[in-house]
Amino acid sequence: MKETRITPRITRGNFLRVMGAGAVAGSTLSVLACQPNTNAQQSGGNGGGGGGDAKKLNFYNWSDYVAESTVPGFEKKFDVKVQQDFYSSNEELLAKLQAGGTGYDVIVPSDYMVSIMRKSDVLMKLEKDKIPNMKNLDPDFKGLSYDPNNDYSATYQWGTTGILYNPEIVKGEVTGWDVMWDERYEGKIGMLNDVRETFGASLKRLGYSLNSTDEAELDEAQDELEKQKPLLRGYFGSPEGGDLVVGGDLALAHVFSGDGFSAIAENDKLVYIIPDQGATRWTDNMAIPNGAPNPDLAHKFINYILDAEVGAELSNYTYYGCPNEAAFPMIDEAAKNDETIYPPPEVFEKLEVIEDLGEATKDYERRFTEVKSA
Amino acid sequence: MRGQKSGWSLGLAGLLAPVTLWLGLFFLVPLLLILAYSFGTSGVYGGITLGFNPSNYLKVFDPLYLEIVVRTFVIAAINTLICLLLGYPLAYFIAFKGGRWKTILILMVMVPFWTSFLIRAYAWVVILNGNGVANKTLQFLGITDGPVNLIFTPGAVTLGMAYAYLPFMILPLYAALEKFDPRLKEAAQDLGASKWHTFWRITFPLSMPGVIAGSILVFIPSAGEFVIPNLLGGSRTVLIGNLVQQQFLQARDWAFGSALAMMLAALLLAAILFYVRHVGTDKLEGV
Amino acid sequence: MEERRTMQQSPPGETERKVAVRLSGVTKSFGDFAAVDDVSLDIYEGEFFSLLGPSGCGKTTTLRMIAGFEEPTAGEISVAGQQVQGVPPYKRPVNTVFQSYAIFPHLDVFDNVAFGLKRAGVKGDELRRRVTKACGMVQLAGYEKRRPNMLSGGQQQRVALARALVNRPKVLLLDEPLGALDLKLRKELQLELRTLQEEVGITFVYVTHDQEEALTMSDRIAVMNEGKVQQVADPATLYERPRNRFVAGFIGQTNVISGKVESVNGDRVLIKTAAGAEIEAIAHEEVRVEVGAEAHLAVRPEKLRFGNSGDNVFAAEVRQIVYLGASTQYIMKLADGGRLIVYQQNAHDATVNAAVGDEAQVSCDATNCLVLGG
Repeated sequence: MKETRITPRITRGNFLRVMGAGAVAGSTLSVLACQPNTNAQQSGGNGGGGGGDAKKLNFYNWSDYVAESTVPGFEKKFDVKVQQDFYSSNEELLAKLQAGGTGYDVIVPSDYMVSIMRKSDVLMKLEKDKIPNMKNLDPDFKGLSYDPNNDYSATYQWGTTGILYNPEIVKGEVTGWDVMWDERYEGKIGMLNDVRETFGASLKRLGYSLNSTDEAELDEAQDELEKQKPLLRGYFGSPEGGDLVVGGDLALAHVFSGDGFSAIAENDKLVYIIPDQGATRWTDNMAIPNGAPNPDLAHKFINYILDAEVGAELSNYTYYGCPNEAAFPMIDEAAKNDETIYPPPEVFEKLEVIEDLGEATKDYERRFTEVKSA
Repeated sequence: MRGQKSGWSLGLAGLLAPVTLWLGLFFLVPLLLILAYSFGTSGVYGGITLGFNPSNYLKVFDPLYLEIVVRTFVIAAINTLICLLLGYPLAYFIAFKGGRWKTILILMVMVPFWTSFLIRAYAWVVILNGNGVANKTLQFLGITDGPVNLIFTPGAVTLGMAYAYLPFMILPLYAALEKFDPRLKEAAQDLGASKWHTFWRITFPLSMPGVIAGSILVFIPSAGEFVIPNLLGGSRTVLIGNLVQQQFLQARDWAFGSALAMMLAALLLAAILFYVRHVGTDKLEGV
Repeated sequence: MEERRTMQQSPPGETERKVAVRLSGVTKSFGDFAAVDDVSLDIYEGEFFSLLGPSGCGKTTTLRMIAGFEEPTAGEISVAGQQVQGVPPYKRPVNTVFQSYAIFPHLDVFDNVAFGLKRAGVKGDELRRRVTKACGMVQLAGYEKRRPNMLSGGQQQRVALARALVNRPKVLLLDEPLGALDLKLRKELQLELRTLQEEVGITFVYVTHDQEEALTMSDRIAVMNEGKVQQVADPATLYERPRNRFVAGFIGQTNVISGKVESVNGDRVLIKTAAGAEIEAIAHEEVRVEVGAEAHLAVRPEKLRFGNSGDNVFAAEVRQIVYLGASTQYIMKLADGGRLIVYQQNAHDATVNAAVGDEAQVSCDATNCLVLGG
């Protein structure tokens, strides 16, 4: 089993679920207050950081997603100040940028969001010669479908989405998605309140790609989800699901790896697995938005993060997957050997990255609504 | 002198200006904005281009979404009824039997508003979960042997919604009952009406303005509710509020979301008009 | 009103008349304060009985106890021979007309008047007939569809009356029903009420603080003060033979002269005032007189006349003359400082023309000088 980790922290998963009125009101108001369009304006300085001060970097990131030494290290090395701001969902990030909120130098969108941002012309093309450390990235994390040439982004951390369960309640061997459809655990199963993740799980279980746009496949996946619904306790956010397994209200939860590990830190009897039919591999990536006040410094920062030592320090803190090949040797042994953080090749093969499907997203949304209304 | 004749004056305009400005800016403008969006076309990646595109409204009439609308209104109506059944006795008790404790009791009804609603909703999650107070009490009293599924159930959602909106029902009811002339009750009893008849034929009809106001104040926000079904119900039910939220955030289909919002507003308006006409607008006076 | 039915005084036991309401030793205390203090009364069937007294004397509380809105702390009340302690108002054969009318604002006149009948199960034609008749009786025929907010005060009062009378109660209780009306309307309604009562023949128990009103309308009056009954008698007796200072002062105007009892001779008493004047007075059998004790006399202002033709002559100085149209009021000052009020009718042969400052003689007969009880 794993070593006990540091205290459970808020993870990426936390904020992928919209937190009620506050977030909605916030993003809706900010959206409505300005002229929304799909092109970010070149104006600087409304929202977040300041102007193009060569001595200051504005870093817009998920909460608690840097090691203690990461930012101070950068500040010292380049004799600059770093202003950190945080967001709680990709949608919030996008909304802010679309509304013309600039003033950020480096942002950290997730995979599908990079795709969306590229297509809506929100990102600045990277000057690769300013990022020599790009070569440090593991080939499996370069040139992914959402940014085939890494023209706009560089992988920051990665993880999986899998199943967290309590072996004291869930008997027998758990290897695949079927357990989430097991009638024996009726009322104690939780799936993610995320359309792509949950549909993805259903598709993978049936042996299909989680980026499928085939109507027949989607019909089948939807069917299975509708069958599953009566057995579910509900659709939860990832950290919530983790907490509920720890608390005993759930026996099984569909969670992001980080939240799984947090739960295990609280109760080391819990187990996180990557289902053998395959699951999601998600990445968070560094990018520079159009209109960044300090693109030069931004490039330096990305390069800094991609440094082997810095990268190792980062992953040893977050316990997420490190995409940095050069940094890998310096990863803690315990993490390295953990198959749920670094799955063996045969499992890795079955992992898929969620791609943005454009118009088809609406179809997925509608299907999920149908499942929930069933 | 012209100003005098038409009834307007600088003073009057001055007094009306802040309110008009406020209502205009924070109510009218956003409403018009949403109306404009509802006829727009959503960009694939969010954002919206304005224009005249009525297809969003056609989408609204899809059976799936209509079912959601109906479900929402049914839940809102049930919640209103529950709040009325729970709130009326409480308001009655405070108004008629409160004596010198009246002010304190009414204050206690309002105190929860001083805390963030989100915190109070989460408090219910803590109370109702497997290790929470509710379960522990049930086991202590021997009613159950082990933890029971209390949270993330339809029951929890009903409880949460009633809890959230009860004060909106109690306060108008209290206002109406507080002004009630106790001599009327005596007169009714004097004429042969038992306590029940006195209530049913005299007190209750005369409290109708309060009942109506309270019902409206509960029904409208209940119909737009999206937080409680998610927080306390495990996101297993989709209400109109959830649908609109999804469109704006996940599906990035602002035009459709706006059309849904406008439709909700229109339906609510129609429902209220019907209700008030049926019951009589003159009953709204005196609250 | 010329022919007043002669009522016998209240001696119990000798009546062939039926008792409509009997109060025996009724007390109502609020904490230490006794609002009604050991009151015993018999009210006969068919009479117009008034409870008269100043504010706070307990008359309304007494009425409310008969109605059933308050319960006595001690004592018993019976209506039409039945004890009514603990019987709620809706089961008592009495109806009340309230000072504030208490018309139901949400019902029209017809439904207001019909309210009691409906509770008693009266329906259809009979209901309609009786309601219409009641409205006619109070001169509100044709007003049945009116709403209370479209009625004047006087009209509302009539509705209250009709609403009560239509139920044919054994006793009708009226709590200062005319208090809120203007003088002319009040006088009008006083006559109407009296006529109505005679027509209908129901026992009326009428509460008022206006002694003129009580004198005008009542068969008998109970004068109350500080929770106790001071005297119960018909108007003439109350006026001519007040039992004590309070009644003498409350009913009409009176002059009170104090002195010591010199001698007693049958019902004739000789009183000597502090100033030395000797006054002959009458003491009725219920008043105890002792030689040498303090005594108070009451002389009505209209029983005094200028001149020295009476048994008792007083020397006084005219201090003030008040012209009242049909009469003139002379306020005189006696030698010992006491005050005497003298009424003179401005009759066709009126001659007295004393001016302010004049010394004059005023006299009265012994029979008009009453010795008062305690």
